[in-house]
Amino acid sequence: MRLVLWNGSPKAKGSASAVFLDYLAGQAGPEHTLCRVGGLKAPAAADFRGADALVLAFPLYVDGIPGHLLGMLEALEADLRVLAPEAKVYAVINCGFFEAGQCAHAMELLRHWCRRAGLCWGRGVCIGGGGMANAAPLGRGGPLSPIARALDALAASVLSGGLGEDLLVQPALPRRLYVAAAHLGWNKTGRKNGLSKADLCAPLEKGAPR
Amino acid sequence: MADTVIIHDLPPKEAGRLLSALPADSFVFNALPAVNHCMGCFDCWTKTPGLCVIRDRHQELAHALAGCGALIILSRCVYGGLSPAVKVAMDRSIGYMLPYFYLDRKRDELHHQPRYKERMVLRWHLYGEATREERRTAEALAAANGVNLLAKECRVSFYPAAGDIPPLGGAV
Repeated sequence: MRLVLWNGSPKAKGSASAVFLDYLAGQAGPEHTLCRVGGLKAPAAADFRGADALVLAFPLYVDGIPGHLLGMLEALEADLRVLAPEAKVYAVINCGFFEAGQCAHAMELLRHWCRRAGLCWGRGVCIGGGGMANAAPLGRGGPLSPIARALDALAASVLSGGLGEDLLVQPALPRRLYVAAAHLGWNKTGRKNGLSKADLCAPLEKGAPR
Repeated sequence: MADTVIIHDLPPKEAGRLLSALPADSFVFNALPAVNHCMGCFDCWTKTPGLCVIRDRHQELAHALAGCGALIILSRCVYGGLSPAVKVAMDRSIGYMLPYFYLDRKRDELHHQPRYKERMVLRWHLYGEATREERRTAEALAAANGVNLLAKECRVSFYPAAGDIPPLGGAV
């Protein structure tokens, strides 16, 4: 199979989307051809020629698809209909909120894109608590094990060309601990930048920038 | 409506027709040509609170959004959501909220705490062809945006084309 793995995160390194795509790529045997695209550079239409599967991973931005990625998807809509008419589309969408369900609107947008591009929707995984992707190993055991299991199920669907139900998963830890860790993290980063919590919470001055 | 911010991607002719009778304290942001997109750095939360660190004309929008009374979005409907250029402008605006979470007990969901005490009215005017399913998605998506922006009211309208949108006047 020819698989296109598309990282829709704009981050040059350290993105949760890259962690999840690396995990999926690790499950593909040598009989599969992997094409990695994404980052800041828009994929070329030719990257998708003859693809059997497109796996798109991206972070949730304001309840939806990041604007730059949305533009790339729209630009490729007509080309994919011709270049990869057999491709099934799979998605891994992560958000910083704890609840995976907050990614559901973005998944719907992507499904509408699939219909417009004439592509078949395969399956999607919505991941809450995406901020933990780099904080713990992704595998059996540990707080990210539910995410690893969902990605295993997604990989099985991708590698068999199958369809499946969409999955919503989040880390195995109490939400209040996730919130506490996130708040400590923001405070710590603020302090590194010489800012107190009160500074981080300050309103912007109304009107034109000075 | 006082202190209104408008983000749009209208063709120039329609922008002139629709936006000429706005109240004097309105701020109009043309999303086209698209501004630089968000890089996911979160510096707007931890380095320059409330303001994206990318120095371009989006900074005017961030200052206009500060404590605004209404946010009116006029956008081409794309897959049941905003157009890429309008979405980029919204992605760059997350400094409107704080990084810190609160638990919305009614929805049992985390959302971001507000930076401003004022609560906006949120309106989406979406134009262009959209399927029934896409319109349904847009309604749910706008409502979710309303929750995340802590808007006091949120409403979506659909129009076949930009030319069908009625002019925005005093009661936008």
